[in-house]
Amino acid sequence: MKNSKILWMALIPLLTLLMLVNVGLGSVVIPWTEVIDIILGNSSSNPGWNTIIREFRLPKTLTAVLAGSGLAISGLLMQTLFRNPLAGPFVLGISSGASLGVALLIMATQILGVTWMAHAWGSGATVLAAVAGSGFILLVILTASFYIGDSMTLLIIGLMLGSLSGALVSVLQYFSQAEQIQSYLIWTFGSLGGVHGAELWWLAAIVVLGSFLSWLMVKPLNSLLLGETYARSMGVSLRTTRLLIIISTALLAGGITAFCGPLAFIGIAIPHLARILFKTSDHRKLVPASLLLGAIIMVLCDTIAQVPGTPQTLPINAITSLVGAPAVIAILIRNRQLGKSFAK
Amino acid sequence: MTAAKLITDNLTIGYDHALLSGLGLTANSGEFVCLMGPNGSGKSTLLRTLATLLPPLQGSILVDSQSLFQLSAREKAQLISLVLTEHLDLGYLRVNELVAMGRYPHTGWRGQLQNADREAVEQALNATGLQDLAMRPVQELSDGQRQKALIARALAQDGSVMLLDEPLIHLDVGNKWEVMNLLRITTRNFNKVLLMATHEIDLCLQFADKLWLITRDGSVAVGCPEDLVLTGQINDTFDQGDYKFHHHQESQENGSGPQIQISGSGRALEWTRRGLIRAGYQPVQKPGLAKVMVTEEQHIIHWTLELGENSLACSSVEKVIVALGRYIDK
Repeated sequence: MKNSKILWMALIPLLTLLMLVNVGLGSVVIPWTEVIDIILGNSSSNPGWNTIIREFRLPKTLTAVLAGSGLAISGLLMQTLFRNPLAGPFVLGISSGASLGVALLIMATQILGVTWMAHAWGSGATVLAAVAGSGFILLVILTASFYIGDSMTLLIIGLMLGSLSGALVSVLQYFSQAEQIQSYLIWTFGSLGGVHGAELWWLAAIVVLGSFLSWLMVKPLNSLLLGETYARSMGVSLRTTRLLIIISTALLAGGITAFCGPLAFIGIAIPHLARILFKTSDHRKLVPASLLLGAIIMVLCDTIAQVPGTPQTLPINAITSLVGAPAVIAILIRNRQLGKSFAK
Repeated sequence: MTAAKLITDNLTIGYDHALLSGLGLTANSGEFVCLMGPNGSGKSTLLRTLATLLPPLQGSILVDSQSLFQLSAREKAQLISLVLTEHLDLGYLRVNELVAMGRYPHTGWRGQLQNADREAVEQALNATGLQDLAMRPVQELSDGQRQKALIARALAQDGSVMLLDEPLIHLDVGNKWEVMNLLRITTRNFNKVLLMATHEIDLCLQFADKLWLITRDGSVAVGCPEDLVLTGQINDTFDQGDYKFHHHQESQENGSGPQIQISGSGRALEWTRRGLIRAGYQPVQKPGLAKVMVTEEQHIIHWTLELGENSLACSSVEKVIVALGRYIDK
């Protein structure tokens, strides 16, 4: 009890600090006093700095917070629903659907001889394509969940849909030009920097709605720890619960993938980190803990990805895995109890 | 007499085709009932049907005079709780958190416990002797303790009926005995119906108030364990190939409680003695509160019960125990 309070008290300032550092660092060096001034709403003497911070760095930091939180929560939902430590936001094939949508936009249009489309529509077209792709997969999964009583079957169907989309993307790549393949690959690297203005509001709305839905479900989620039979015997409606879990995962994972590309790792790793740090299986604590830790790790990874002081920016997906995987392995070796959190 | 707690009315169960049909079973509060039968006879199907995890093919189930199929999931959960066999890995979940989950059908959307809920959790922990382990992760408990924690969770759910599907299966002999004893005591103290599917015939003979025995012809024989042994129905059900159920071990127990004089000979006497011990009496050779005489003529067993001035002829151990119970209560 006491330990978890101390953790909250430490993690919230840590997130604030990391966000500040994230805004402050970048390829252009801006003095810290100016950075804080601009964040507080005052204008700097250098109008260039104003633009950099307000138009680029702040939105990117906020995107990192939203994407990290949302992915961590959807990972938690999937791990609990399927009682599987390897489940993540994308096991239902949602990101594969988004990838297929984007691949179709970038590559199929070119194959059909309408290359102008992608350029003319810009990033908005990519978002729409990703939404359409993940929305389609979501529809298939929801329909399946209506007819199939068993969550494991649903998991396998999700994985199959993922493979199917992946195969279609491969076929598209085979017939595409190097240029198109490259722009598709760059999208798959993930990016936190492409969300501005109204898009940021959309992303925020999606993440808030998805998190709110999962917060409403803490009790059925806890009862699912005992398995579906016990959950039913405690008066939980499995159909409603599963439907809500799928909808909020699709909102979170689909929405974030649409805006930022398929961001790997965070969704699977953060819920484990939350369980180990807070030493709990109770979703009333795990949901907020995943939210907070997801934001912290994502902002941290983004700060590293900028390689402060250089004009280089590394792909965020590479960093989340490069930084995150060893960290999680280290924690696991020290705790040796990841498997304990789950039934086989 | 109050109405039975658990009633099945013309119940037909099965998945696609009927496995058991026309079941009219009843169980009263304070009765510990063991559901037995060979593999594949429909024990689990019956239990799952009673838990409304599986729809019946026909008929209805009543708990506390309410038809289960007219209730919401939450209302059903307030009447029936479940203990299963499947091995759960529960991570950091603590014993008190697990038991508190039993209160879910009674709490609000976040599962926040009120005073009544906390009391129920504490009562369940005390009843199962887990109060000292309340803050420990379930994961760290032994199999026996863990089974008790799951029973405590079902107790905290506080329904009239508790259904248990082979809860003894992973336990060693000592723990099996202890859990059975716990279940019998809990049934009495909490005045519930406990229905447990199991293969542990020796323990059932020792602890169960009644057996529901699914026989080879697909009917359910109901009676107290001793009667089902004496009528040969246990043998008919479980003897297979070279295996013959043969309970030759004489009970070492002398029993405790009101002394009842008992006379007679042979198998019938031994099983009557065991029945009295199980029901909480002490069978003795000298005069006691009442007297039971067992006679066997041409394979037909008669019991004569002398209660003070009155004499009563009974046709089963169950009837002897019921009559004794009424007499002693007065």
